[in-house]
Amino acid sequence: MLGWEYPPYMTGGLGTACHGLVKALLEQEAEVTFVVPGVKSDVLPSTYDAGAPKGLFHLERVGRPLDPYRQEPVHPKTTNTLFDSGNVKRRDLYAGDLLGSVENFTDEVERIGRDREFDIIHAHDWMTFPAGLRLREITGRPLVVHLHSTEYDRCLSKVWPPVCEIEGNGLNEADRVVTVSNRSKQGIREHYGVDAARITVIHNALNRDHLEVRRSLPLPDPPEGRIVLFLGRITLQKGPEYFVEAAGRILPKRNDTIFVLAGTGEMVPPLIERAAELGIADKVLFTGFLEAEQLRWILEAADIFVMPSVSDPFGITCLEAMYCATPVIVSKQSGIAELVENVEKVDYWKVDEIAKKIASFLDDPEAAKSMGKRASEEARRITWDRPAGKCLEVYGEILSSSDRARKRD
Amino acid sequence: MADTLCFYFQIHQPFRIRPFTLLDRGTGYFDHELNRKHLLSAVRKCYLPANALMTRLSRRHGDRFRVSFSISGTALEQFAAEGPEVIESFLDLAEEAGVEFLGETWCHSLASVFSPDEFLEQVAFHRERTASLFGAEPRIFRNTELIYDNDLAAVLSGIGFRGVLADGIEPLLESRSPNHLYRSSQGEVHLLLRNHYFSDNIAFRYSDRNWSGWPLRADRFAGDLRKEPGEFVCLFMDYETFGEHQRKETGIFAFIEEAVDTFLSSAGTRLALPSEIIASHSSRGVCDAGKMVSWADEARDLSAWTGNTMQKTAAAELYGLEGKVKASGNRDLLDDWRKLLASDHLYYISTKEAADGSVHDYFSPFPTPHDAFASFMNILHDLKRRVADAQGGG
Repeated sequence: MLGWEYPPYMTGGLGTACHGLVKALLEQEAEVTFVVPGVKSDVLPSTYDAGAPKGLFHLERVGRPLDPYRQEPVHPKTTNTLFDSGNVKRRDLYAGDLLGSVENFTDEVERIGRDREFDIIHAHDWMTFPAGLRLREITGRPLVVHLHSTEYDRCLSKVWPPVCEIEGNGLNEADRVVTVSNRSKQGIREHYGVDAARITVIHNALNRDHLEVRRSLPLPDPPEGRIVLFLGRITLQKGPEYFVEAAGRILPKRNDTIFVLAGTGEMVPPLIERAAELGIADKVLFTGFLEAEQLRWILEAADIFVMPSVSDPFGITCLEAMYCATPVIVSKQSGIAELVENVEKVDYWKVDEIAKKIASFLDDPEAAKSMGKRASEEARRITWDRPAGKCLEVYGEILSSSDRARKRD
Repeated sequence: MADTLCFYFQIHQPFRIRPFTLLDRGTGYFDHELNRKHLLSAVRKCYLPANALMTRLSRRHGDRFRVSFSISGTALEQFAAEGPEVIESFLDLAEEAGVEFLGETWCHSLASVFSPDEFLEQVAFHRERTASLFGAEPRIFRNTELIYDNDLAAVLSGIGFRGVLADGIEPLLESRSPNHLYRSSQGEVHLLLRNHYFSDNIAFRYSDRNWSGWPLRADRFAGDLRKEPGEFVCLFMDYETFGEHQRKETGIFAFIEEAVDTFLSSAGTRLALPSEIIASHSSRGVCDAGKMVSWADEARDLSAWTGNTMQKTAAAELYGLEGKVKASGNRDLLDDWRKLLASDHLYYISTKEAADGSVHDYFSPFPTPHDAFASFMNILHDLKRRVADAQGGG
């Protein structure tokens, strides 16, 4: 299996999803070698791998860390900033010779793959697609590509053509494509013309480990008053501006409520300015990048979680908020909206409706609490064994069809 | 031709804040390590060597050497904690030479703009502390970053100041020379106007290789001063110009030493303290300042601190807390609030670009104004909570 992040080094939902999937596959007695960019000395005895059946899991960190959002791994507390990428301009998004890193990763994967025995190649997102294709070429094993987000999701209209080319090539060349939602399936059919018969939708699930990180950072008591939370990368894709506009409708009328934006990204500066223009900057607070162990604190401190994504293939933080019994409002334009029942669903652009739903949760804490409780129960049922089982089915199908193909030859 | 020079140096260090969020609740707002680093660097590169230079000049020129300073309260507090030898060295210098210490706000604040009551409290406290440290009560005032208007003159007159410093810029001068004494349009206060051409040749342009006057030679500088029309020239600048803003390697120390030596080598020249200028010159007319002026940025107004919406928001929120902080009667809250009043915090939130922007960037501990603003607002939110707790808990 080829990925681009794996615990404990993660910046987004991909690492969480890969970890959840791998653990569940191991429980179903698959043997997994997970290859991820990263410095070799990074391999720490990690609580994340505890419990994996002995001998079935192999983690290989090779070459440089790949990160499409940040140039260097930054530990926020050691720098004088909340927003390590807050000011990254669009042209810097793929700075640090990302394409070079992808090529380098491809070579490393080839080196490792030559001496390993395996039946299936499973590659997560575009940066690992060239490595997956190379591995198939030299071993003849079938390739599953697993799409967590496309360039069109991440960058909306401002896509970078070289990435689209790699992405489209991987999707069309692979033996099978897995998407994390029907929405995402539809997206790659439109953007890349991928044949629907080759696509399997496997929704993500909740990875509890991500929320059960041992707490080594000191965390304060939760704040008084009510908190409405946005959590995620502060980028066009995630729709943070609709969150701030909704705050503008609500905050002038309330003194006991704050809106918190947790995360970092290129939309931070304009949104900070927008909050000041709206006269609500005293109650719209930015936390910058949060460490894994701070996530649960903020999710539990929050009274309402809002995810107004403009285009989100899935949206795993929504499940995490649900798990923490926080009532959730999500956009209909996110994949998670297909999967869950006990959340409020809105079109991301309907700011008035978002504001109305937030206000009604604020006004009726009992209803909010009961929604949170139901959401938590629902989230607890969405476990990784089901998607892992579906992956095994996909593996089985392509293995038997490639056997058939071999027999025919 | 000007035969008199008046030196005034500003000494200031803020308590810089650290990146702060909701999750930092219960921890301090100020970055002790960073502040200590800045202070010790300035002590080593500027304050001690510059004071040593002043002492040397004083021994060489005896009674003819004169220099004035004002030290912000936030700098004095940090000296007391981290660099007591700096205070000792100012005391030694004051014994040796003709030194005058001027008044200012304790916290290097914009209180003159936003809160008349707080302004009076801070000025009184600074005056008292300066008097008890250096033995003389300040009679001349220097407002934060030379912010000045008619109302300020009236207030200063009412509390016994005889003179005030301002920048020698067109709105005040109305085509007159800065090199004379003027009166305020309100109250009984005289204005000493900074000659920004000569001052900034040292403070901003001294090491600028793209400047047509580079390299600035001491003999030429002293010669030009002698040729300058008027009675006296006021050279006002940050003391940190020596060794910090202009590094030692640029030759700034030797330059100023030689410039003083050369200037005083001509017959009939002298250095004078601000209060001596007021005593020995008569006013050439009135300076009218209906609008606030300052020495900051190209615009020389308040836009360095209140130029954008973020800055206006932060200032309104900050000064809006005054009543509740004071009513709480809690020393820690008042102390934290006052440290946040330093104009520097608002200065870091400026979004100006070009030359002004690069000066703001030079001073800011934050990579972007938005970063500075976010942490500042998070801190104010926390302070507000603590104030509410203090009131709730009696």
